[in-house]
Amino acid sequence: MPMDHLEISRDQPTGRSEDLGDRVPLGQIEIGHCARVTEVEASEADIEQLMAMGVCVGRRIMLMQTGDPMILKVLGTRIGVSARLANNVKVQPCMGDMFGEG
Amino acid sequence: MTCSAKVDHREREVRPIPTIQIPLPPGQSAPDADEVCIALVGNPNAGKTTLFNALTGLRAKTANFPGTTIERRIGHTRLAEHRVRLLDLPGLYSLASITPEERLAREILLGQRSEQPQPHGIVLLLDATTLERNLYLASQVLELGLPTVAALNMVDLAERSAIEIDLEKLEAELGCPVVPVVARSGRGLDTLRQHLERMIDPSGSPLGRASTDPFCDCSGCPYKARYDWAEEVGSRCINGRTTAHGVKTDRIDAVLTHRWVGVAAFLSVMFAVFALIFWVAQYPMDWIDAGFSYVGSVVGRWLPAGDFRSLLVDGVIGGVGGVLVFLPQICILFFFLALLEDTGYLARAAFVMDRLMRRVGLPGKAFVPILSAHACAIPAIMSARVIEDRRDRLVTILVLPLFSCSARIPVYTMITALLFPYRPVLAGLVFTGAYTLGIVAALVMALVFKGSILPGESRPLVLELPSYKLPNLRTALLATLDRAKIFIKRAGTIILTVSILLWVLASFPRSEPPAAALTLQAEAQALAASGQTEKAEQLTDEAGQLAAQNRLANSLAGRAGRAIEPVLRPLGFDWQIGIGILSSFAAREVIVSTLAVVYGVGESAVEEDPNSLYDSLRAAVRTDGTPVFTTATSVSLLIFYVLAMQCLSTQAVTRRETNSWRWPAFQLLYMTVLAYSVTLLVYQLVRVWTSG
Repeated sequence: MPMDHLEISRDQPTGRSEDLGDRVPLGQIEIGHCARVTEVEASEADIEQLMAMGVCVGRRIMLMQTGDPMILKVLGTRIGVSARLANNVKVQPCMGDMFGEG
Repeated sequence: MTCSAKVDHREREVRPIPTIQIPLPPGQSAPDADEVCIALVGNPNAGKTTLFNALTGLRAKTANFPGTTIERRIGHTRLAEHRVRLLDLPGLYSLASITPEERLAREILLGQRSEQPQPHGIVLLLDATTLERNLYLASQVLELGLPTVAALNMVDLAERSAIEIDLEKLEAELGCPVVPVVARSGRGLDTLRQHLERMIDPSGSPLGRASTDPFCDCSGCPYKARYDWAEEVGSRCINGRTTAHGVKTDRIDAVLTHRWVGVAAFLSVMFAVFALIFWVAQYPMDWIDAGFSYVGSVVGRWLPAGDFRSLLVDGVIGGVGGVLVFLPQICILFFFLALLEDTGYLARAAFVMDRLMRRVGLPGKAFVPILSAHACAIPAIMSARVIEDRRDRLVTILVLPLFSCSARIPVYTMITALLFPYRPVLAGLVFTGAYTLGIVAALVMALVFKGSILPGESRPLVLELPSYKLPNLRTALLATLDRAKIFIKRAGTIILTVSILLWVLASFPRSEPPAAALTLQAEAQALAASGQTEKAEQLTDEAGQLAAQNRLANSLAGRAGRAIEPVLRPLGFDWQIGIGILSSFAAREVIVSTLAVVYGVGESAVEEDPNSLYDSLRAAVRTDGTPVFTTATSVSLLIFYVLAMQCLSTQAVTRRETNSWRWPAFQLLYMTVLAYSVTLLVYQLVRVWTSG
């Protein structure tokens, strides 16, 4: 998916990207775009399960489908997550796709 | 990919540990002193069940871990002259005591459970297509310091996705042997066995144990450190892609997890499965039915007439046969569910249903038990285990018997025949109405329970959607066999008891045949003597029916039926229907044959021509000459059978799955109150409407 890289640079100019900072809730990134987890609010017991499946600080994730529940891709697996949980995860959009070096 | 790597473990800072010590360390007891226990640990969807089946074959036993409802599978195999007990632990993402399964697995691996000695060694299953994710659990397992062999599963899929894993490096990183396998095809299993033999056999070369540095859990995110490690190891050991792209899966998912198309697809799949269940199952069901009738008639011919023959033929054989007849439906249902699960579709179904189920406060995963409940509540309650949260599971179990199971079909058939004889369209509407009533009642009750006794939102969904695969027939067949065994064992024992109990209630105390029956019998003898055998047989039958009717009316069941008649009267039921309702506790459809006896049709006549029963039921009149089965009474009986808890086997399974008598008692109570009040309301309304 080399297009992702281009789309990120086109749709999110530097200024806007910085405005969003690292506090974008997981559900707000665009489909097919890659992002890095910067914070997980451990407000609910169930978030632990999500973290154990790889949605934890430092990991790259990709949003596959929006809605409630939504579909993420993390470490090569698809995970269905309810929006309530996903909103506890803050991410920072990053360059490149899941599978490259980005 | 290098398959036979020799790694010098001494180079790593590994304490070389000896192989498994036999006999056991002091303070532990095993069922068999020189039996070696090996635990199988791995992520869900990593192919654990397939590997377990491949290693143990058909000899696996499924039961619960004592005091839990978590399934324990144990299989046996022989390795290096030792009897090896292979313990299949539940699929795990981590050992971090979040879920009951993780807590249990952790306790077992640490040897903290009294009923289960600490395993001597571990087979760590890693999915080659998602290695980094799997390494997270691996880091925790390796830290335990038990002798471990890692099985790298699905290497064929990894190869196809251009994932190249350097086995030598991986072995060095993990500090344990890594064997590439394909559990489905059996590739690499011999090598895995050799490694396990070396792990067990003291004469073999020593194995290293975990080489991972202890992870500090004091930092902000305890998961980060381990995943950082996993990613590092991944980057050192994996060349090319690190994970499978799964373009095909993405494409299929675009359709099957679509907001609306997904639901439509789900409904079509389930409709197809159910059509198959009812269509295919009717043949084996007929065979089982015929088999039990045959055995009954053979036993009946061999034994002299009397209580013992009646107990065996009517009580034991008839009663057990009446419930075992549902076995084909249960097997087919579980077979298809296992196939669907294996393909990866079941996770998608849970995903699309989550949005809808959440409205009634249930998680998406509750749809499997709910669908199963339309075949039989027993396997449905058993399959409610897929729901992790205790409250969600309890609510689901409580409402499951409200869905129309197939034991209700004969009752629905009888009542529709009473209401609309020979009018298939209207009969179809009645059927649909009965099923809809069950579904609506169950969903409403789920909402009520969620808002009252078991409050709280349903657990938010966190569900892996594994890549689509072709299903494995062997795995599905073994899973079906497992379920069938559990059904026969669990249901068999209680059904046998209940059948005998109900037979006693319906047979004692004894009563003399009524005068009319004796007169008929005498006439029959006279006719037989004069050579009119056909006429004589007919009269003998009639005499037998009268005697049976009289016997049942005077039995404990008959007396109980009379005793509860004042309570049932407002619903439009007389004491004969009361007996039918009481006898339904063995299995609901028993009311059909009970009514045949109490209204004096004779059971054999019913089998030959069910319409003879329906005709005589329609003709049945009360002592005051009014018909028994008015429209109001028929509708009332139908609704009562949709809503009432009338199945002791279900109650026994609820008891087992909730570990308490409180929940089955509550289930019986609420369903009885619900059935009674709704039936009362509807009967009185319909009566006023039809009379005015």
